[in-house]
Amino acid sequence: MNHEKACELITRQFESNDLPTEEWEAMRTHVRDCGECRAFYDRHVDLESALAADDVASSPRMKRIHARTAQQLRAPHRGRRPALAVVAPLLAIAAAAVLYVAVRPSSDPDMLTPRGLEQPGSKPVVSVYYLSSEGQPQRLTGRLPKGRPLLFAYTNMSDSPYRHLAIAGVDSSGRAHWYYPAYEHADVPELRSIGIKQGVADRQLEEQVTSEHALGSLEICALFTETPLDVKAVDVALEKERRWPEKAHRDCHRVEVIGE
Amino acid sequence: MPRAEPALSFDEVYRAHAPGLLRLLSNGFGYRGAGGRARWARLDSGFDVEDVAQEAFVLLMRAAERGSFDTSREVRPYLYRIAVNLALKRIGKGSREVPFEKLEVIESMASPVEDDMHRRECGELLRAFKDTLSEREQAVLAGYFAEEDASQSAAAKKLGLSRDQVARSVASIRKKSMSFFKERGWFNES
Repeated sequence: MNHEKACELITRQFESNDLPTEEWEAMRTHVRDCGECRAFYDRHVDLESALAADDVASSPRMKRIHARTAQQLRAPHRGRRPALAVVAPLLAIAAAAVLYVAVRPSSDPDMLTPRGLEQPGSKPVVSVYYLSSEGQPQRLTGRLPKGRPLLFAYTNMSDSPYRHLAIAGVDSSGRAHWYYPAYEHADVPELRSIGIKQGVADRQLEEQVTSEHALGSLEICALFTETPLDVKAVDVALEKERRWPEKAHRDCHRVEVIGE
Repeated sequence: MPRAEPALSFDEVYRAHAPGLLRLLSNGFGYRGAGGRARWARLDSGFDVEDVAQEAFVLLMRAAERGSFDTSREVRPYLYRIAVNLALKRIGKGSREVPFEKLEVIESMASPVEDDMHRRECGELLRAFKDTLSEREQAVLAGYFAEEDASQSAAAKKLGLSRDQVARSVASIRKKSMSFFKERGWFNES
């Protein structure tokens, strides 16, 4: 979001108090890092506070904070959105492709071929998608435009011993990004990998995940384990030693984060 | 990921604690970290106050949902600790300097005296602005904006106006106030 757009949204917010959630979140993200816009916002708050006491529950300011907090609580997580409506059609095609592949190998390059189901006893895998700027899910193969939300779907055979999954990425700056489970704050006392089902193909995970990756190489790894992983311990090893846990079955994807 | 029903009601928690939290973040707070010395800090930016308050409530509710906050405990100390921790990070103090587990919020700590020229300037502009309003608008300003429990219906009843008239006046006052202040350079300064 550019500076002029942010200022326009701030003005609209204080005039009408009903900025749509997406615009509000985009403006909020911009203002956090822009001193000039923050000062502009603050001037509006000062005016609003001068018109009415702003620490009473019914003041516009208190109502605004309440409404925005309630919206954030309703959304899956900041930077995370339900993936279902976006990916379902894509995965329906992928699920159909499972049956097609089982009957006859496909020579159509546009058919999605689920990885790992070509033979029984295959190891579990994760498919990674990203949302294009048009809102269309694209299979992530080599390049990830910066800032695009990621979506994941896993395949885990019925005879697989793996019951738990965590997905993380390490970017070119060495920073670890946790996609599943959500690991947003160091204050969380403990965090474990999520439970997964057996005998499923391309089972999508619920949320789109947005993360601020550095430009350059990004290694995304799905960690399948029989028992839950201690994510915080893995995080420390990743950031300090760039080492993935040995006891996990890993399905890794190496991509390049590029500017949009 | 399936989520359990929260054990806390956000509306109730917000109603009970948001006014105090906003005052704490706006007016300043004392805190004590690992070293033991009491310090004082404040968020200078109204945006930061709102942003931190919002994040603090979200973290509290998510902690309650996950079970990592025991909802039989008093909410306020935990909420204030989260908020102060976020505020300190925002102003650059960082959680390394003050680990969350060792952070103590000192609500009773007095703030340094400040001569707030900025607020006085705003007050003077506001007085000048009120003089430009019609009688009805001035009545709405007094009967709606200044009320503790502001609702357009209540103001309409009190002022002998329709709710629609109050709503139009409120919207008009907001727009006029922004134009008035803008013309006098209020939004151009940082």
